[in-house]
Amino acid sequence: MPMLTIKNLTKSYNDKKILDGLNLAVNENEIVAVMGKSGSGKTTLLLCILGFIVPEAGEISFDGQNIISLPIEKKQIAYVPQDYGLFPHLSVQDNIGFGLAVRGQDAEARKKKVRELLKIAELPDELGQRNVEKISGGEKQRVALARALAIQPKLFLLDEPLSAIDIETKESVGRELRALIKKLRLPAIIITHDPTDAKNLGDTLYYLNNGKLEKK
Amino acid sequence: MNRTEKDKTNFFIKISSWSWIAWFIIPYLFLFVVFFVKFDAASAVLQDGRFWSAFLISFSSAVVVVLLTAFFAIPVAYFLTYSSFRYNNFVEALLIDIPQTFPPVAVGVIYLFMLGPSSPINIAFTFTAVVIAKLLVSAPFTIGYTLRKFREIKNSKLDLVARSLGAGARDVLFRVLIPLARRDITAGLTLSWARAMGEFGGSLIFAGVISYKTEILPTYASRVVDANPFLALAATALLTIFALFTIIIVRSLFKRKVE
Repeated sequence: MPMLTIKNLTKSYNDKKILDGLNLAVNENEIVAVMGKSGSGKTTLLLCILGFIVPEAGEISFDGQNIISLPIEKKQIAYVPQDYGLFPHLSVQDNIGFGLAVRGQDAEARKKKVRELLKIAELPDELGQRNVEKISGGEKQRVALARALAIQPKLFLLDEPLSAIDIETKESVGRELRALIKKLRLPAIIITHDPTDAKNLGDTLYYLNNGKLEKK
Repeated sequence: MNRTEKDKTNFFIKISSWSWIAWFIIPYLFLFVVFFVKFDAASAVLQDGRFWSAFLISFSSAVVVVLLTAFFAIPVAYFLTYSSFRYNNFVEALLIDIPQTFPPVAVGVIYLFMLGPSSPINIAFTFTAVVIAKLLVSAPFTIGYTLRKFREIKNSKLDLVARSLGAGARDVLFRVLIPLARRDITAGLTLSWARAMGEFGGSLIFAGVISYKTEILPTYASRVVDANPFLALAATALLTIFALFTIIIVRSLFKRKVE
């Protein structure tokens, strides 16, 4: 049985249907890569799942429960935007501990959890003190994943995860990212415009065209 | 483009830029040269109790304006960032653009009729009137700077990331928006303060020029300029120093941000 099911998702902008009765099923531990040209509705799909955009019609259910009306902060969906979305005013450890801090977890417990998460993301302990703007692209990506993991997510949503990585290291960073998501045993949806990235990262590939998903 | 044409273009650009720069710098240089040359006459202002009262009223009313602006600008900017209602653009123009282009004298006239002797709430010719007249033209700087930064954060989706991590609206505001917009809010408040210090037209009409009560530095300068131009000059020099300090602070804040 799929973990995430999207049925008949429809969303229009200025009378143009961006998502037109879109259907998708994501199984446990499956990484789904969604490709599409810019403006094809990839980000709209992602924001609908996240709950930031309300679709006109359709159903999004997770583990049998309809999550469409759940507030975004209650969905436990780990969202990593294109440039990782790290908070530039916070250190690596404060970024990772952000979700715990807003849940009111005390500083000592947070520190312990952050150390665990750094280890899971295969990042050195001493990176915790560093400024997020002074670490490499690959490290930023791992910090973003570690931060997302802190909230014990049920699903990963990654928007163009390799677009900010330089071409020389793209393949290895992509391989490491895939291995890390697989290790976490969580379903993931990855949005990308690059077919090579989609092939390197995803188990199942879809192409978003005319508001619908076509399996590749 | 051949070499002669390029030289001519460069020459034209340099000449027009330097004449424009000189046009703006000369009045300041003139002000300070005259101030120091005629220092004895101008320094008499420091013994003038009326001047000190005008200075205190200017300063304290500007402080009240900044406090009120700081209290309201952040919620207003948050509201404009996240609300999408029909007349959003119009309200934004009304709060930010129009007050910056509206003739201050007109502001004074409107308030005089609205809150003056002919209205049930008569607060004209009081310290409150000074604050109200200054607030309308000063607050837009802070609201504008804060709004621009909040929108930039929204476009970078950092607020969305925070919400996906479990942050409610209050956490997004206090843990993401305000810390990231700190410098912009400070820069906006500094400009609001400078504008409040220099405001003239609205206060002149709505608060009047009552010595030791509603007289502020710009109105003091306008009143003494005929009888003793050097007193006006000294008051103007002090206002200019305040403005320069403000710009230096704002510039250094933004320079550090770029670095």
